[in-house]
Amino acid sequence: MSLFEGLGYSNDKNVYIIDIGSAYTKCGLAGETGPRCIIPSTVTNSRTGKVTKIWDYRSTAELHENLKELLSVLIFRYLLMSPKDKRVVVVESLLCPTDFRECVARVLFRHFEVGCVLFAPGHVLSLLTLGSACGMVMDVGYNETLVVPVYEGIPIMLAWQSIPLGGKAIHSRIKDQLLDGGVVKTSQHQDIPVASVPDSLTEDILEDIKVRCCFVTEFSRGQAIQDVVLRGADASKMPTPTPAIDYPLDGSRIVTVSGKIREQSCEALFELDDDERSVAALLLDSLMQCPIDTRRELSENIVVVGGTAMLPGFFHRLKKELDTLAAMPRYKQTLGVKTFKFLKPPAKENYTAWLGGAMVGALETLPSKSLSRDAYLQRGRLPDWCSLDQETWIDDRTVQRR
Amino acid sequence: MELQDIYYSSAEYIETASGNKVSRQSVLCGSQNIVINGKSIVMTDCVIRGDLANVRIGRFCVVSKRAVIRPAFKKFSKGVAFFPLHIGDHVFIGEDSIVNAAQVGSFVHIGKNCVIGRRSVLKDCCAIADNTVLPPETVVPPFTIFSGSPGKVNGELPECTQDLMTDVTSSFYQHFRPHGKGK
Amino acid sequence: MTSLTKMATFMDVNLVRYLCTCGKRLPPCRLYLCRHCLKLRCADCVQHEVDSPYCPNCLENMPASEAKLKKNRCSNCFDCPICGHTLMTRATSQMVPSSEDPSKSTPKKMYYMACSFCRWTTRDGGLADQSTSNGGWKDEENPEAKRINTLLESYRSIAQREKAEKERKKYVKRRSHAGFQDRYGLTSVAMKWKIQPAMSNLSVKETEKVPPAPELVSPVEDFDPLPSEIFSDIVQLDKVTYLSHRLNAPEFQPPATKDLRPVHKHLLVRRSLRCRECDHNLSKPDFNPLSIKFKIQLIALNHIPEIRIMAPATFSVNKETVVTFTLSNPSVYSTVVKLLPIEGDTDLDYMTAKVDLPKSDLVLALHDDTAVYDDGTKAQQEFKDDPRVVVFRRANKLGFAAKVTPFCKEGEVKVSFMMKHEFRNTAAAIQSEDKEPKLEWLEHRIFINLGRIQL
Repeated sequence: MSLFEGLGYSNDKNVYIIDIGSAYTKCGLAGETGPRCIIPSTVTNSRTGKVTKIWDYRSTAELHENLKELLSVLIFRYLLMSPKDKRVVVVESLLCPTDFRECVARVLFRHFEVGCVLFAPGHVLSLLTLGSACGMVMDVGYNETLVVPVYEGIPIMLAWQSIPLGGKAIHSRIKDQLLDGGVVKTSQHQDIPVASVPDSLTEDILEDIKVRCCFVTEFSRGQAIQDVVLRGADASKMPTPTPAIDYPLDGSRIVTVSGKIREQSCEALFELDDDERSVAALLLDSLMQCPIDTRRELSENIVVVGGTAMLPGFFHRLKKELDTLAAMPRYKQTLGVKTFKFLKPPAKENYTAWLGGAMVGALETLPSKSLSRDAYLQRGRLPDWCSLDQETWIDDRTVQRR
Repeated sequence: MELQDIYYSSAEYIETASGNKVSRQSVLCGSQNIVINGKSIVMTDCVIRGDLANVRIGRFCVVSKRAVIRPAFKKFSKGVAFFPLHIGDHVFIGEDSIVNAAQVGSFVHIGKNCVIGRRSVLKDCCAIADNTVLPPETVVPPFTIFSGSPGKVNGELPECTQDLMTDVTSSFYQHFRPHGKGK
Repeated sequence: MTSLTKMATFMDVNLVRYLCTCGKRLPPCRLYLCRHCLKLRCADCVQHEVDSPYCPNCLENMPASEAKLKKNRCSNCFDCPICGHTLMTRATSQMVPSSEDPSKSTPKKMYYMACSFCRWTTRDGGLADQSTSNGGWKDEENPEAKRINTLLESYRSIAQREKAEKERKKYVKRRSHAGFQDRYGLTSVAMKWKIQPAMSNLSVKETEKVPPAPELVSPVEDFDPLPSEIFSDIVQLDKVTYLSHRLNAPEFQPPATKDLRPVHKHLLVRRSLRCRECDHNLSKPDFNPLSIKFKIQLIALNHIPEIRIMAPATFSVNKETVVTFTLSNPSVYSTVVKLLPIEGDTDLDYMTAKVDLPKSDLVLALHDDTAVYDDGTKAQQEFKDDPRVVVFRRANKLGFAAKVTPFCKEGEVKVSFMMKHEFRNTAAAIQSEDKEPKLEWLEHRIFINLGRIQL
């Protein structure tokens, strides 16, 4: 009944906002305060029941099929609006691989026949939710953490920093620790080692343990733990662990998540590796690359987005780490800033970038900034910030804007 | 591929005038309340509880082995009353399933080992996957596939479901043949 | 779909596949025939459209505009936040002081919702019982909604201003800036940030004409440390919500189960399909969600003769085996079918066996619904069948024999051939008001998988 859709109340409800993250996809309509759905970025093969992640693709053809499936689910199960001639905002990372973007564009334009698509960088959009034009945006995601400073609405590309620490690193730390010394109580025997049933630790279970049992511990305790584990200090210096949790694996088996695992798994984010980098050091390294006159403003407008930042105790620890690291000789001389202030967006961290996209999608100027279907079919490729090929830019008239 | 013949020993099944093939080993309680419209198959070890309430089964239905068809009840302040259970035409009920529904439409496929909760309503042209548990009072809309426990919408059926189910159940009935006497 | 394939494994629909126009091979039950282009289409190469949303529990249709307002959720039906099953309203009676005499108490019916699967109730979520049986359950409001809306309003006014300026500029003659900018190499720089400046224009500090911007959020310097209970208390795991529970309510994401609220039930849709080339509908379901009838239903199964394997056969390499196939005619006219081998070299790598097809045309009787009730064999007299080719004939079905010789030593025996058949286009006939629908010949490529070679 496309008649009714034309007579809709306001036009901005016809814009899809999609954010395909490495672990979760957020999807909804423009102008709303929250996404309609947050679903895992996976597709299930209807015949075999096998679940594959979107980002684990071996060929573009496979990605094409999977994206068709995922977008079908989003459009026909959650958004419930015909895709034809709709406007779409795709929230992506600045470092999104070209073949992924091209595939998304191909599926949207050729298969679903949408009207126009805007690919917008998630870091800049997150600032939109705050009303500020400057800020240091750190996206703590599943595969990696990416820091991009944004000044006056323009990302400072030479200062981006990334580190492959995120939800995935925490999962593997939990898995290693469980395989190392964990015990599983079964209904028949007691206390078999976890290492004998490694397959029971699926990705879903690890994620659940992370969400429900783990937390980011305090700075002083964290340092003491790191002293013992990394720097070989005396084991008696380890702070008293928190109580353990009995985590049911399935109907008959219970694995004990010891207090050690609960507290120490998230240390993966804050341990300084061989290059002296951690999630906190990332912010400082990025600041160092920024022009010196922007640093003050950037350090007082730090925005943290991303699902992994929702762990309890994350922000408090991050602030302490920043303060401590900034006082270290490596940064003290050259950084030039001492205070760090954070901005809190009006959304939960795991959909802040989506919310920025929703705001952009609600504006009347959206069509002039997006790539229309005709333009895409004519050019065959997407415009990209890293491409100097003149023919793929959106539109000549917008040069005169400034 | 066309369905292959499935043979049963003619001593084991009763064939009624309307073409129903009912196994002698099945348990039909209250058979005067059970109405099977014709050309349906009830296999061994099935239990149909007609003693609780009326059970009506349509044409070309197949009730597989060890399935239990049991009308559901509703608690009132003055006691308990049993709902009559209506099953439509061309319904396939898999082995070991327990059907406590209040109503099952036509062209429905119920998988093996399912538990259909009490007072559930299964509309026409739907499918329940194997090993599903449908909680009480679930409504299954047409052209959906429910699976999991609790059963949730997990897929869609194509438009040709009606024709496919008709074809499969009719062929099944046609190919369900007795051995000659003496085997 | 798994259930259908389980059902379909009785018949194994995937053994005989037809070639769709987009290159995929699918069984005829999954293909559609476009009456106007006379081509086969599959679910992938057609355009899907959302027809009408309906609630899966109350099976009520909802107009699309209302669905948009209600965020595609039913207003009356709720889901349990823990297991997702539909919640049932239950009544209890509570003693409340009666309105006439405050000292006496009268029983009053109060309602609460409970899940019959996991036993969660609205009382567990801390919600008070309601006095009406339906409705009355208020939705929570996102506390940040106000802030987001004020921000959005200010952006909208900036965007409107920008759009108006652009419109104005279109009609104002512009001096050509191209030469000027190029001198400083600014063109390339400006072009690089084509997309980025789009965002920066929404900076609140830009123009003075903007109405006073909403207050910027004051930055926070310190955060609350972890509550000390986390180090000493034993966590009860069943009081902590799973991630999936939290994501059911994305704007709230409560970490504790006592904060979970019932979720409005999500609507389902029926889809209608449209051919991309000629823009005609291929499948249009009825408006009523309960009905299984279709306004338009153009499934290939109902229009094209279907080939099926009669019985499994054993194969050995280079030995000729006779395989019986059945051919059934779904149309109300009798049809002539010709089976032809593949011409040329196209796609020969699929075939692993040589097939000897019947050379003569096969005539199929029309599809008669009343034949189900008929046990007679009178159909045999009308057609003169070569008994070596035609194995049996019943109503609109025909069984023919073909000799298959596999030339591969192991693996699956696969054959492929062309099927040409008469097709009477009943759709065009209705429009032109002719008595006889036009006769056309349609050609399809068929792929059959006959099973494994016995070693």
